[in-house]
Amino acid sequence: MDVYVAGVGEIPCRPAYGDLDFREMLYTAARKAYEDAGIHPSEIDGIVSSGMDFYEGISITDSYTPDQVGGRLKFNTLVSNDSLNAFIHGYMLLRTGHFRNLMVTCYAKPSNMLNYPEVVLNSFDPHVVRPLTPHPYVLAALDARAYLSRSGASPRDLSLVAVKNKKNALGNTSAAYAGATTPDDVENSAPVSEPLKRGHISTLCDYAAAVILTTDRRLGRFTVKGVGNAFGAYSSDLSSRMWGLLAWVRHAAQKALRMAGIGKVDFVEVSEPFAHTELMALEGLGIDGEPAHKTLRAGGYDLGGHLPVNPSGGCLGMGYPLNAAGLQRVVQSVKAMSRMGWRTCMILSSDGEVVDAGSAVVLTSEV
Amino acid sequence: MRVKPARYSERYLAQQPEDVRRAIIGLELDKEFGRVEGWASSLNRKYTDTDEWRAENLILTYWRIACRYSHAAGKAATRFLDGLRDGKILGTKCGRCQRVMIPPRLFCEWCFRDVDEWVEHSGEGAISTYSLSYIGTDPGVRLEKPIIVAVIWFDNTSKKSPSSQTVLHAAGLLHIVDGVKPENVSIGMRVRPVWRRDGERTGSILDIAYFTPVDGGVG
Ligand SMILES: [Zn+2]
Repeated sequence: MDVYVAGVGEIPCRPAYGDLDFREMLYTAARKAYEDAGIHPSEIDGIVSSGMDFYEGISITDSYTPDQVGGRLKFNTLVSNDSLNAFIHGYMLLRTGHFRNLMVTCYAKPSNMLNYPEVVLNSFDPHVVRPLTPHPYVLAALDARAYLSRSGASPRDLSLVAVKNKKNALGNTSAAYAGATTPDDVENSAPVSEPLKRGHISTLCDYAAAVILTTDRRLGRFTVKGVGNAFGAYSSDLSSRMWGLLAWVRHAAQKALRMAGIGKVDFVEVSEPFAHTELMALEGLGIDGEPAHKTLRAGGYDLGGHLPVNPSGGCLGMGYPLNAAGLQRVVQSVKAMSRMGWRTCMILSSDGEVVDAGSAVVLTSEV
Repeated sequence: MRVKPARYSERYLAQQPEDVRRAIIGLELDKEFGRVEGWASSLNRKYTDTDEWRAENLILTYWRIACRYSHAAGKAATRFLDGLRDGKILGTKCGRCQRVMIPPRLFCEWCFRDVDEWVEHSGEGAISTYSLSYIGTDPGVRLEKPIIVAVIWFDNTSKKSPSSQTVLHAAGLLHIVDGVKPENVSIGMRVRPVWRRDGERTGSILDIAYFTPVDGGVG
């Protein structure tokens, strides 16, 4: 049984939607998805929503979701972690044969959070990590340092990623942080935690997205050819983690590629809360042959390169909407396939800023 | 009981802006609030019937969650709260199903469409359900005088099923009822809002001090 994407909707990324609450943001995204799919909300059988209670400051955020996306009196479930995981859960629910059309939704409203780094502290082990009060960007810097050391890449490669993505975002009306910058601009931005400069870090953004999945071929516009998800090799003890490496990518991506029966894709959309996340994910993907930073330097990941990566602008160019980043990638992939005539893509999204776990999805424009 | 006190380090406090540091210290988050003497009586109280919860079976690392949020109210709730500040109860109305929504939304989830207009309501209505509460949100707290918590459905806003006359929707609020003896409260009792005075209202649900019987109640 094949599963298709019938339609997508989003509210553009913004630093803050001060005048809208999350319900109003989601309603807007859902309306667009229904319009895009050309179906009525009554034809939806259920809702799979992605939410993180700590980020939203509301317990059981999924019970706040269904009304504004057309899910009244219907099946509803919340999937934790990144929204690409929710997308895969929607895919699996459809494959059970119990549903025909499902809506996958997510939103992020980090502008509601006054002390984001301290909120994130609560995801760390309370006995051995939390009392040290590490900022998440410092943990990301540990990852970046380890990645650079292991791969032989230079800090300037991180700047090349930032420049590429911000430039790509210039063509994306949903992007909040597009810009024409140079590697020197990024190098000269404020040091955050060496080797990370401010320009290597995706800025948080408010965002909401809705994707309608279906098993009805007549409604399908893109096919979900393969899915994969893997937990990394680490435990909750950060010291035992494999730093500088996204161990989950190879396992999740290979699973998705095997399901799809392909070895190559036309482009990649990868959530990159930090510039090095993109390179670490591409290393794990390994469909390139070369070390990721060498392909990057040669322009292979540019819009006109042999494997465009984040043609949407990624999170560096669009803004990082926390757990909504995965569905943000799905919506951008669908938009890119429609606009550029590309036929296959790989979508990768980690379960958080510095989390070695995540999801992979292969989409094609063939139905 | 094995307790591992944890607290915000001096180094961390030093990083905070002055006002945040003051707030943390004001909440005593810098203290070793995990000390057994300070918490023993609360922790050793039997909260539930499950003995595993008893404090002597736990290893505790105390961590007070200091998440700070500033929830954007959105277009609908902002106008509603501004209305309360002005002493008005505002709602929205869907032109298709004719429902009045209080608290308001910009969309009707029945018809999945935008609402059509804003309406004002006096806030008079009837108690649809209520409870006399003797408990506080901290476990073990008992109140001498019960709080009357009620859901008030506003006049002429209910939509009923044609056959069973079950109310499918009504505009209204969950709020506090006062100015009446607890034993005299009943379902269907007609109530009206009692507002805080001009100048004291801030744009909060608490601008309505409480609901009270329309007929003046019985003390
Ligand atoms: Zn309606």
